[in-house]
Amino acid sequence: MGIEMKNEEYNDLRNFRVVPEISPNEMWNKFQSVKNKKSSVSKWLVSSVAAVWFVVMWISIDSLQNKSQENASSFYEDLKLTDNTIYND
Amino acid sequence: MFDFKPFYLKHVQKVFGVVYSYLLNQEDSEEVTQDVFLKVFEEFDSFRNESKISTWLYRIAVNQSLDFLRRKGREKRRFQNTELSGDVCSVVHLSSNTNADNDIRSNEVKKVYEDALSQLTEEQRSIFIMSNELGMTISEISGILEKPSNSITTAKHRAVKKLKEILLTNLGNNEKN
Repeated sequence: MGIEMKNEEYNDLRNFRVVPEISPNEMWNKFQSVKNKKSSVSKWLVSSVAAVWFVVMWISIDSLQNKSQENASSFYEDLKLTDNTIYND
Repeated sequence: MFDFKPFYLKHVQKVFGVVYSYLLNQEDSEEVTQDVFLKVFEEFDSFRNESKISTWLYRIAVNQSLDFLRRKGREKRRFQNTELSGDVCSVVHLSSNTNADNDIRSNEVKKVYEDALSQLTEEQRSIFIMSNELGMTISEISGILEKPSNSITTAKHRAVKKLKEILLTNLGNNEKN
């Protein structure tokens, strides 16, 4: 047989407590470390994104430079060819 | 510059209580409570004085708790007695529980009570705990849950009625026997 409940206990549910007590100061200390951790993670993320962006830009600029050099030399070759053609003609 | 520490210390127990009324688990509730304050800390500039700051804070607590439950897929989380018997866990405070027999009995009543609470809907349970344990008024709860006061009153009455029914079934009653 289960335990019995006194009538006044059953009627007055205000007597019951279920939410645990916590220590505000301990929670504050934990909060500080969570906040610092989060801020260092976001700093790390920002610097990583910046680094990746820099590398991508550097590669693109480099490839653009190579392309323009190739274009310039092929233009020069074309020019030489045209000159020769005119001269030979 | 807003001094966050006194604000945190003033509200942390109540925010924890609101979160706990949804999650019914101490560890998860502590984690979500910290997330609530992180969000508040980051979005403090976006707070408009349309409502009281405490209402805004507790509303964030409710939303974060619901998000957590959705993420974890635990709509109806049951009490785990082992977790609840932790160091800082509360004990149901019944009057005149001074000797060992009364303590044992009190713990048994507590288990039944916790189980009864877990059988309520999330909303009924949170309204009941906010009102009964955290001392919030119907109009405060109405502001937090963004629902009319009469719905909150109805939900609270239903919660009390259901709780009493469950307790009566599970614990019996001296006067009725």
